[in-house]
Amino acid sequence: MNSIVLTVLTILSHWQKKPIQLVLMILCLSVASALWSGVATINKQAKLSYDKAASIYEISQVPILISSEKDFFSDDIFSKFRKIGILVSPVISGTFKGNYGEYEIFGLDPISKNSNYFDSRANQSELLDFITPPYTVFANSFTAIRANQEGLFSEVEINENLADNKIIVDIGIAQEILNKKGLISRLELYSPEHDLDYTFINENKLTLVNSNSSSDFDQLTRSFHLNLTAFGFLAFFVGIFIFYSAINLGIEQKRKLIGSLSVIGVSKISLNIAIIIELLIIAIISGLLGTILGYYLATLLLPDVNSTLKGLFGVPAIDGIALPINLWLANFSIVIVGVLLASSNYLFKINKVNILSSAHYASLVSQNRSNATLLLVIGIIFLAVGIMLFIFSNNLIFSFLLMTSVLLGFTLLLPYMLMILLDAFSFFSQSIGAKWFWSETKSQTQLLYIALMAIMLAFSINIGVSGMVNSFRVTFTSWLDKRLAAEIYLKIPNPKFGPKILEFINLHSETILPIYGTNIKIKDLPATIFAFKPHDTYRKNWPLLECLDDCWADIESDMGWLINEQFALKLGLKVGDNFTVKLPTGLHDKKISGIYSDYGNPKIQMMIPLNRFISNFPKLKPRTYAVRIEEKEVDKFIDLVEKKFPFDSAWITDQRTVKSSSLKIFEKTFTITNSLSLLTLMISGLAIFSTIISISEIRRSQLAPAWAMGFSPKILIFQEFSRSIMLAIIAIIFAIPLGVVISYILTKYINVTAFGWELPNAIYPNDWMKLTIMSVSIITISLAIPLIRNSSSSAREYLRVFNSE
Amino acid sequence: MKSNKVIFKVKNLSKSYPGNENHYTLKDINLNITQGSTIALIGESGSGKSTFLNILSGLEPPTRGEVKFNNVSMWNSTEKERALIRRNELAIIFQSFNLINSLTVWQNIGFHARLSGKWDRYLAEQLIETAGLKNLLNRYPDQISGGEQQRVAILRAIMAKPKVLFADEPTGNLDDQNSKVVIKMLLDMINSIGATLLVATHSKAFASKLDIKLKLKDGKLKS
Repeated sequence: MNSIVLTVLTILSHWQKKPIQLVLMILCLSVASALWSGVATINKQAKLSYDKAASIYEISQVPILISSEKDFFSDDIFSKFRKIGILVSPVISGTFKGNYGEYEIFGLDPISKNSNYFDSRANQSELLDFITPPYTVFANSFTAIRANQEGLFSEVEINENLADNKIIVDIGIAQEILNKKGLISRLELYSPEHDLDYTFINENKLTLVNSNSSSDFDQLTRSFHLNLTAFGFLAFFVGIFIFYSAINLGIEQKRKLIGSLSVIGVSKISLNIAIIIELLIIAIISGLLGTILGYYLATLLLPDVNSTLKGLFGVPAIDGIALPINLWLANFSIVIVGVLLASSNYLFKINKVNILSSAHYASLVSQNRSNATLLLVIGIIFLAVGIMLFIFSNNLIFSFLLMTSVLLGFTLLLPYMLMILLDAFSFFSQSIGAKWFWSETKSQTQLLYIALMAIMLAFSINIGVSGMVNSFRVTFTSWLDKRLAAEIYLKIPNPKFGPKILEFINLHSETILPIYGTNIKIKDLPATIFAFKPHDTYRKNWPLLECLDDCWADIESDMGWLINEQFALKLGLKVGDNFTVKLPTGLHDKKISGIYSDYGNPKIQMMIPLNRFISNFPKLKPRTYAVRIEEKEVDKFIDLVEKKFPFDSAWITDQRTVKSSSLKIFEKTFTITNSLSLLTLMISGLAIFSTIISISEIRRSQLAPAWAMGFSPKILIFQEFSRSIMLAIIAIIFAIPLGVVISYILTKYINVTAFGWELPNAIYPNDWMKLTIMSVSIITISLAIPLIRNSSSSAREYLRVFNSE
Repeated sequence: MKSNKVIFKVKNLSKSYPGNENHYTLKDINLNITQGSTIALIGESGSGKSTFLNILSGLEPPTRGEVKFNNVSMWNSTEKERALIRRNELAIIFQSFNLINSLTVWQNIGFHARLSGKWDRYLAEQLIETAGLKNLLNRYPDQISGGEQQRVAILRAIMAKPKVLFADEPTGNLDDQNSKVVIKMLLDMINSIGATLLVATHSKAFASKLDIKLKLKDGKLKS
């Protein structure tokens, strides 16, 4: 048998005796790579969905409505829209497999479609031929020849502008060819977007794809996906960190095996090759499991990701999750590279193993002590880099690097700080028993510190993320109170009844304020311009972050306009500056009178007085209104209006309902971040679990003399347990200030660069307490299982220590 | 088979350890070992017996001097070349057995022979029968006694059909009864394959059964 194969099998046989360690190591790596690959899968799928939506849009050149759930939906919706006065045109597209190739069939309804081609008088006869026999179709000459060979169409009108294999045909014929009778793929929207009733759209499970190209979708959602990627990577990093710990502890267990192999004549090259093969096998199994788990994780997270993307960015939902081969390979490569990097030290140590000496606890501990000093130095270097980034951080990548440097820098200080703390405890202890306890704690720390660092990392990430989410929640709630100051909001369900409804409401309320706007581009960035009446409602409530003293007077006189925080940050503007915007009536140079907070909106936005808006966009009519009324009258008023105008959807809502639905969207936005940070915490639980299992054999040699001197195994196990819990709690205490710093970076840097808004930073000790209890519970369970497992056989195992010696 | 061919040639061999460079564990040792001879290396604890064996078997480098195996300088060879010599020409038995804990007794016995391409199943079955290990083949090293572990270690070495077998206190961890069994088994098997044997031992009984007795004292080798 080939000596390499024999050596590999022998190296692998080590795990036959340590199956739990192997399973845990693979589990750690799998879960970590699952988080990474899950996020990568979602990101990749999102990109495909944006491209798909954009490619559909590029064909139609107008906003479109697509199904939120399926590729095709019933064409009944077309007539529903027409009945409520919304101009839409149905389109079906799909692939037809013929005998001579595949064709892209586009079925149109030329009657409802706004088409210059069919509208011109000269083409009226063609219109008739298109919708009635012989049903002329359009294709280029290449496609026409093949289509004729198929015998599909009797009349083909040549249009060389069309791409190869593309055929434009009447919608009825297309439905027949594609075998999709009564179904369409989208509706092209010709009415103004603000005429749409979103309740109606949601009820019919449709999504409006705005006039954005895929690059706009990318631009809008880049920060969201980067955020996901960063957290996925962080989780993967924690996993690799744990693998590093496990594999290095494994060296001590394998020392004898490696010594024996060397003595027998296995060369170092063969040993290295065998170990790399061992690592690759572990990486491949973990990568495979991780990718499968990641797929399920992505499927699990998909609804929340979709609601965030739809709620926050207004982009189409991601289609179902798929796992293309290139994604599998990319995930595998990441896991393999991670494993090999984490094992570089392991390979180095293997080559340094003294084949004549067996594992020695004291040397292992002293080696780890010098490692603690080395980590201290590396940690200080990371913190120095962090300080540089803190000074110069000005974009999202820098902000993430800042967060990573601070996280790593502080975490790497932990082993050294623990040493100092335990030295102090030992110094102040009086009895020999206490001194022994502390010295044992110290030596246990040397073996546990990578797991403790994983706990510190995971816990501080959790504190940081929960701090950021809480700061955001508090700010968002008070911001909503200001933004939604009106008691009632209504959306005119059918423009035909608009004047009547407004007349009635005017009679029964104090004030009625229109809410409407339109999409424009400012310096090539997607932007929204809103009209508003500078009423007291705005003067008293609008969430202005900064404003000039005479802000409202400026607005009344059309001297100054309001912009949102994102606008100011993206274009580097401040209150009092002038800016120029191109509107239909020409270039407008205006003063920034105030900057308002606009959370949850990634677009830049500005608010201009109603009259100015009307002069620029005279055709746009408001369909949403804010109604001011005495609070006690709200329910009565809604009842009255609903009785008078009995439309079937919830077109009139009170402030409370709007707020609660906004908060719901808000909460969903952070579901993924929360899930990822919680999963990271669980991985750290796995870390301590696997470390305790790995070190129990090594620790046994240290505890055996104490057992021989009269300590019962139960006492020794309990002491081990107490020491581990105490160390984990110390790591958690150290993690709290780090978490606060992370929360600060998230709110003051990452949010600003990723979303365009800055949040006030606050601390939430109650949350720390809850997180501490949860983490300690996870760690207690993680510690208890291996220790209980060991306690049953501990006396026998201690005896074996002496026998082997 | 015994012959006058020199298989190991040791010239001016000295060994000292870092931190105590002036104290020589081995001092200017010269020795020729002929093929097929059996040699007992005796001496007090700490006299350098294990060090001498480790240097000859290519596990530990000398401070000075030369060791030639079949006219090839052990310590001028690369690590890979030394590993090949250990794999194909030598075998070592330790006081602490050095079995591979994750392999069964059967796998341990065959391991070195398979590695050097000398695996002979028939011979293995014969030797296992002789060593009385037949019922232990599926057990792991930590499931059998010390005497049994040493018999496995001897079988592993013999199965590799080495030209030279080094044994470092092979009976050091065994009681009298087990020692007798192990010594007899080792000598019988050495005779059957005609290998050279170099044993470091405290056991006078064992030493008396070998052709040559060498004593290490104050770093010097005396007959």
